[in-house]
Amino acid sequence: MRVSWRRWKRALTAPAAVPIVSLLASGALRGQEAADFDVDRAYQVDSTVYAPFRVETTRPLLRVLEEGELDGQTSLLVMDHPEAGRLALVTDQMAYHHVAQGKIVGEPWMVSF
Amino acid sequence: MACNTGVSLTPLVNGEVHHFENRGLYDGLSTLWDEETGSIWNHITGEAVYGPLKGYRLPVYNLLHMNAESALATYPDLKVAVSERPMREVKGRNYVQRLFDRFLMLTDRLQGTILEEDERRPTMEVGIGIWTEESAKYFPMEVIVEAGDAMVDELNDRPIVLYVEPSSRAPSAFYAETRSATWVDDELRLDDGVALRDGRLFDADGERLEVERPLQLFTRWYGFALTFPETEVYGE
Repeated sequence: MRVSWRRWKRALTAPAAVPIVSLLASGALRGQEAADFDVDRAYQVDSTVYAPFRVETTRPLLRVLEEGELDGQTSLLVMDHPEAGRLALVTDQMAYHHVAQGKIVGEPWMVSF
Repeated sequence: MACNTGVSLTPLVNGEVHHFENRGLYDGLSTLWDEETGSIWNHITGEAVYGPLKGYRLPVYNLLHMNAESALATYPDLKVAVSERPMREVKGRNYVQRLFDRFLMLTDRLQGTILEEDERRPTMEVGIGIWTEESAKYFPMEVIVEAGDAMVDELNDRPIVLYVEPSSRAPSAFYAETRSATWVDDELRLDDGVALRDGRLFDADGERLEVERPLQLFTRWYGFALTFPETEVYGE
């Protein structure tokens, strides 16, 4: 039977086990990792379902608002990328695409949603 | 996505651009797939979890939720990329969405990819999750709202301000040396005359300060808890 990390953690953090955990603790956050991944539990398709947004052009948000293509209440996702800089994407569109990527001044960037 | 989460990343693998798309689910969350190697990637941590690049990590950065009005006020030169995809969003959707959210459940397909849920909070609860290399902490949205749309807590012994942005109603967080955070009209006032206006931070003399934000996700509980199983929960 497969035992999840959380079950191990609960067992290990029982009072009797705490000293052992203290010795093992590294101070680093342990998120979901490749070692945890169970491919039998993954749902995977072998062709494109949601076309990713390959971004070729961007426009000033101010102009897009002035032209009425978006309005002030439109929900946006604002990327803050250290090399590529800032860029807004429309949340509603990203709920379909899930992935957008491109380059800004030669710097590659990607958004997953 | 059902879990509402997103990040920005750098899609470079050993100096080469890889091309990604969503081709699957795991733990109720989207997974990424790259066409160059067919590896499967965690879309929040940026780690390849299966395939030839297993263990490789892409750098991850914040993706902030804002409406166009507040985004423009915060970043007047901001650019936008609009795809050909038709938009379904209608006025008043946020209100309707919030009502609908109360009854949202994970579909069977999503549920089938989850081994065991963390039951400390309701599955579909909305909140903000924050993480560093050392720790993660989740704050239910309702806790921030009940505190007057702003509160101060700590992460790794650093004070952190959590607030609900007034026009988009999205939660957000930044580091600040303060013990209090209070909204007065559209201004979030901190200690020593520091204030956040239109997403920009100013000192008592009106000089602009840098906003330093930890990695953060506007997320549903299940998505954050399954990604960071060791996360603390505010108040628990």
